Amino acid sequence: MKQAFSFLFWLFIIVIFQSLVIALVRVAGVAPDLALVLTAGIALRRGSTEGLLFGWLSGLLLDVLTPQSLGVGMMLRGLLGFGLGNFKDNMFLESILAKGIIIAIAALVQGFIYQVWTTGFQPGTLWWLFWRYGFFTALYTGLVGMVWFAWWEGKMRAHLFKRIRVSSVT
Amino acid sequence: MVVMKGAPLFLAKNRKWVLTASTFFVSLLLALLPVQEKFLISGFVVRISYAPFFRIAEKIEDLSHLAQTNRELLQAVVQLRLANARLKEAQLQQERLREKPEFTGPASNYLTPATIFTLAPDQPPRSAIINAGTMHNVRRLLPVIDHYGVVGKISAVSTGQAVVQLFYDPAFRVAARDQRSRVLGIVRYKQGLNLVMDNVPNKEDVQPGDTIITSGLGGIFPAGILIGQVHTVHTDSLSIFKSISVEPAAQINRLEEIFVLNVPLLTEPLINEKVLAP
Repeated sequence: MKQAFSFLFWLFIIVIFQSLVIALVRVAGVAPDLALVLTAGIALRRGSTEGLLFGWLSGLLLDVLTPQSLGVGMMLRGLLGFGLGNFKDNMFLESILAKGIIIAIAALVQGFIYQVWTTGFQPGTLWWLFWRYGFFTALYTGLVGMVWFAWWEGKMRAHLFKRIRVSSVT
Repeated sequence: MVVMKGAPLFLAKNRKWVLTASTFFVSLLLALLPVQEKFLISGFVVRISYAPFFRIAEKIEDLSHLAQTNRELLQAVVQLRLANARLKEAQLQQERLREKPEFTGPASNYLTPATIFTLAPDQPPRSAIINAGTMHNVRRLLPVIDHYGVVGKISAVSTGQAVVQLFYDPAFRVAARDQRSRVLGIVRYKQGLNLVMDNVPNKEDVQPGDTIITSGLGGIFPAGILIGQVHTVHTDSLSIFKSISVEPAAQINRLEEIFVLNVPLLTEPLINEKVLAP
């Protein structure tokens, strides 16, 4: 139940971000993919099933804004969440930088496949979209991912220390 | 203790892969749907998820534009106030023009409005400089009038200025006609503040109070523009012409708005001030 509420909370954050915040953080037409950052965060912390579900639902929320490509984003994000969750135990991802790089690569792959699908594989258009949006979106998303992980891990660390202190007192 | 068998056991054991396959299958199904169906589903999800926040975003954007809109409106108010002041001035000017219903100048689109820069210092003034020149299509010899009647004609012109030869210049001539009796003559300045109408034979009918207008025969002024009213008429038995004094309609010392009649000259001027100058 707690996990379901946590999912709903983060999905709600995605809705607010896409409707209210994205215009404020867009730089030269490039905006970070917060949904992907959260999918990666959940997948790397909780595993493949949670990553798959969250990626799929967040993909639905993003796809409804571009109805022509409904289903494509859901599929890609779900699979990315699943893949990252599967790598969770096999990758040594202690540093924030490594997590940022993983998120940037995920954004790059997701963006490229999404554009291949939606443009009907036109090499000229793909090349332009990749350099104009895909690459910089991936960089921006990687940076935001690093910030998010730094904040999240700081919070978790503080929570852990508090618990250790309480247990040592008792 | 419940023992699972068959399909439930398979699902429980392969929960992860079943879930992956299900989401993949549903996504693929959605991706392959006709566009109309995609729009229907998307519209429904947007209504229940994004719609309230889009309205909030719209309100925020409205508020952020409010300051800018306010500045633009203030600027518009100032511009409108200035325009209003100009219109009031134009209305007063029009009222002054309406005071003289006998004024029958050509259509207003032929008028080039101008104001007086300076009047010549001599009394009565013989010339004036106005703020219209070749850039306003003002040319030499074009007639100049005000809302009362004939004022003079352009004698010299530069880009932005022109010199008006006023009717008080002794060299100025204008072909005239008595509006009532249709008698022709030539109006010029001699002395004092009135003009004289020359070349009217003794036997012609010209009475004090008659209106004198341009005849259009001089080739500069079109016919029908008011020159003035007959003040006195003297008939001398020793002369073949009447001595007619005309009180000019235009008041040179009170000139405000003047207009250059920007019409093409119909003919070469018949009255050449250099030839006729005393």
